[in-house]
Amino acid sequence: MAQKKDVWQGTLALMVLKTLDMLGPLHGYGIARRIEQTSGDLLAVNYGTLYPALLKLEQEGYIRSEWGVSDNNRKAKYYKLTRAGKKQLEREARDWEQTTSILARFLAPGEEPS
Amino acid sequence: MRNLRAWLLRLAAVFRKAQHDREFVDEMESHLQMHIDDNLRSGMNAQDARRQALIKLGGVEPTKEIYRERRGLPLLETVLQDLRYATRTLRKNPGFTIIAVLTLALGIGANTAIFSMVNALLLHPYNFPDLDRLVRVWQNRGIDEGADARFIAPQDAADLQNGAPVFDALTTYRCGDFNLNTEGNVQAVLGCRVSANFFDVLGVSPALGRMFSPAEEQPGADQVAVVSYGFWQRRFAGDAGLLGKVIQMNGKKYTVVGIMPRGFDYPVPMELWVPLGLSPAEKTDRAKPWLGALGRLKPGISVAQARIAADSVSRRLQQEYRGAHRTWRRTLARCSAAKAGFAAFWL
Repeated sequence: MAQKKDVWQGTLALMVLKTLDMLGPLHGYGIARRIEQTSGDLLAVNYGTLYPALLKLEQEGYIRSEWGVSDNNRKAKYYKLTRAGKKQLEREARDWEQTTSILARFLAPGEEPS
Repeated sequence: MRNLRAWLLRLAAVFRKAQHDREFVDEMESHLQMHIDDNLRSGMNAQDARRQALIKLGGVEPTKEIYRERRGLPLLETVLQDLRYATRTLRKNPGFTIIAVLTLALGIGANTAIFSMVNALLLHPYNFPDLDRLVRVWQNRGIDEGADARFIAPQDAADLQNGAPVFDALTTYRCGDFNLNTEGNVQAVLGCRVSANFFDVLGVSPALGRMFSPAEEQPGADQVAVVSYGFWQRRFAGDAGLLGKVIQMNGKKYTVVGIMPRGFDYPVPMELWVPLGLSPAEKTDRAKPWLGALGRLKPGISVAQARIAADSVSRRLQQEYRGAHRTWRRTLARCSAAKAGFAAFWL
């Protein structure tokens, strides 16, 4: 099995926000699963990285949580995107795209910019 | 804004630790169970399903630790823990505690007492307006017997005021006992005979009534009195009718014309003030220094400049009136922050 990469804290927050934006209210397990799947199982999300990140987002008011019941009848804490979270997601996504496009230009082989 | 919100929540979390801890354990437990469920569904046996899930999720205790650090304020929590520990220890050793507390109490008490005294005497002796322009003036007789024994002769004070244009005004006073006669009951009260401009120089005015007029400085017209707030309260129970009332002192009748604001009792805790009322002979006396004097410097005049001016006046007087000023060995001396809190200089 290929070595899985840990997730950077900063990008994890963005992934969590995007996941909640796509899937609606979700518990921690579901978020972790979704991130792992989307990464094509290249990323490993464990307790120690996921929950502090969720807590931080909640303290900052980007997400809200409440206890609910899962599909197979388990008690679980569900996280939900707030309106501030939605804005933050747009902002961070934009920043990230900018960063990656800049980096891509650096790493791209070929012609010098004129 | 976001940060502030997060900090407040973290602060609040410090005080609801147990509940949050329980909740997080529940959350992790539910996460683990869901993971096991999925593993079972994918065909693992129960033991493997659990084992794989635990390996995947990482240690529970370290996670709790990381989570706690983010949730609350670890530093504050540590401090609170130390405080609790200290309290427990102190409770276990009552003897030590009592001695420690007494030591601290005595130390703090003594400090407070000394500070209050220094504060009252040295740092904030009076709160007269433009206090730094007030100076005590007195004649150097070669010995200095302290703030209560610094006097100037009446005519010298007048000459100094006229000859050294550094003062806005100069006022003189003489304190002493008065025998207050209230309905046959005679009590000694501490009072002060003051020039009419005394209150002006200090920059205070009566809370009720008025201060003295220059006309009341004339002997005969001088049977008026301004009393202190304490005098009014203690001896007349704050009777609003005291203004205009006649009180008997030293066998003479004085009309109360003013009541000073609370806390005013200059120069030493005084109960009342009456006009100085110098006779013509007294006014021209320069042989006997017996008046306290207080000057208000003109704005912008430093004490050093005032000393130079006073110096030249006293040199001139020394030449003119050699006899009276035989004892002036030094015309002018040190300026120091006097006990009264005023800059002062010797004449």
